[in-house]
Amino acid sequence: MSEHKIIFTGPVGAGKTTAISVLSDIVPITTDEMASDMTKDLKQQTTVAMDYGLMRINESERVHLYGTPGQERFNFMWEVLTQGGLGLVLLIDNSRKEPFQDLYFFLDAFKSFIHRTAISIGITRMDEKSHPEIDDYHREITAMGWPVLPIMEVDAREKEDMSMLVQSLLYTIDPTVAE
Amino acid sequence: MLFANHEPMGIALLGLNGKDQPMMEMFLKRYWSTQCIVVPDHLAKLCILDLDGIEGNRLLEKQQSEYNDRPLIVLSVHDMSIDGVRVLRKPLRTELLKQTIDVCRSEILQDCIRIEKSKPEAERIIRVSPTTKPAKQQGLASEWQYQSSGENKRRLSVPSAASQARFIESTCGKSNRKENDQPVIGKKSVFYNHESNFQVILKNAIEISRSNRKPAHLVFQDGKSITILPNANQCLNAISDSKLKPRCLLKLNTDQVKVVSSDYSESQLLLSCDTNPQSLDALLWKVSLWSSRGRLPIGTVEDVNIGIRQWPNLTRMMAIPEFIRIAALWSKNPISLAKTVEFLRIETGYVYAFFSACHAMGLIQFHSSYQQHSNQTDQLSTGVVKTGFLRRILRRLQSM
Repeated sequence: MSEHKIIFTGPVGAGKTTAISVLSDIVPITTDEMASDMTKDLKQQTTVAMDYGLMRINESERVHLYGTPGQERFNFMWEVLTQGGLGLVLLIDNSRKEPFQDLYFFLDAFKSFIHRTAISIGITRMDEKSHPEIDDYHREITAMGWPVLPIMEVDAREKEDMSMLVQSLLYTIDPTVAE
Repeated sequence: MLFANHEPMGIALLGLNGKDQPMMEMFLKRYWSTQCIVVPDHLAKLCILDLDGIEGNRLLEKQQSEYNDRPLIVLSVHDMSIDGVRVLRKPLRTELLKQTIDVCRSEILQDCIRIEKSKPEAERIIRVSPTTKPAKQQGLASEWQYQSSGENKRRLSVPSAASQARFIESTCGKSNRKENDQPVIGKKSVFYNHESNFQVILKNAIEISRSNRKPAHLVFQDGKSITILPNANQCLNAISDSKLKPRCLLKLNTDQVKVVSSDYSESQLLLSCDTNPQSLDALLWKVSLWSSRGRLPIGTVEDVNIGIRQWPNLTRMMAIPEFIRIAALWSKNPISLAKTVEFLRIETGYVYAFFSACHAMGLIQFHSSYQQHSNQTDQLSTGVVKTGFLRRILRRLQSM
């Protein structure tokens, strides 16, 4: 059995759990709990350990989809989760107060993993708050010294969006992959 | 103006105690997120007042004398009725409070429209452009559909193989795989004159509108129009895809398409139209693809290496999987058009169409020297071990 892994990360409420659920072939396993800290203002339930979904490629190959807990105090889990991962899907909630701060934080937290693998960035909830725009994210990324990265507006509930975001991740690893 | 550029509606919370105030704020945030924000009394469009506090009656009197026209929701444990005021009995039922706020929002919105329409500028814009109000979209392009939800931003996958083929032909040109295994840029048919067609008219109109920060109307001879809303980065398009597409292939002059500046504000235009707004970038992108049909803008130089400044927002634009591959390649290492075709082993038309659309959007970066890419592409080629399973995962994703 050949096993692969894709990691989903981002702040609380960005849509990681939802994204995994739309891509997964199994009912995702989540470790959501009732929030007891400041997270409760944003979500009634929050992921405290991780989300897990599975894409079956064929009888002998599977892709595991892991979602990191959004709260920073659980970031001791991240190193464990990223071991052997193909790449990172970062979801940023555009409706949060300072989405760029989230961007800086997660890019920095996963820097070594991203350098080893690849990243694609999905911006969620742009229908709720249209600013900053996608162009602004590109400017920030460039200013931070990162190369050109795939950044796209996504709705985590939409399979097509999440599929395209993951495709951009995989093609970034190797654009020559063809049918 | 209220709601302009998604400006939230301000709500004043008066008379609530230290415990109730944050709960009410959380309630507003939960249901209306960024659409409603708590603001000081004098900035509010709507006021929610707790009458049972010590200051309750005084605050009510003040509201009635100073903000007589402003909607007011009063909360009280007592059953009462006050003229012109909506009274909600405690304990509050969240559904009823939500409905009441929604009704108030709707009334405020209607008032705004009425006030804006009564302004004298309204006459002027109607005279200048009788087709300002965009007509309802006349059906969807058969080969490429948009969901109506999410402000028409959503892209859907192509419905069938036949329609996919039609879509590819209309954007990337006819398949000529055999002929173009070795692409020849020197051939005249490979180029199109983007300077004389609708693509450049649209692009210029968007640039002017953005620099003036004022809406503009692109009005065709038959009266159909596209309204550009530069601040919202959206447009109101009264022309269906099936009618717009052929116009992208015609040579047009200024008599056939007029660009008229609008004195209406964006919010007025948005409120008065019955068309879902579309992204301006997505419109320019698809117009560029239809204009290109797998050809290059005239004057494109053959040997220049090409990269992209940033990825196009492909989830909200017409795209085929090959566009993601080209974007991934060009974002990593600059490479010429011919080498792109060769390296990715895809149709020349896909590369040319993608180049044309990116070029129109200002995303292309030219690199004069024919450097380095070979090293990086060699590195990519060594990823053969990974290629097998990546291909299978991609196939799985594309079949979703």
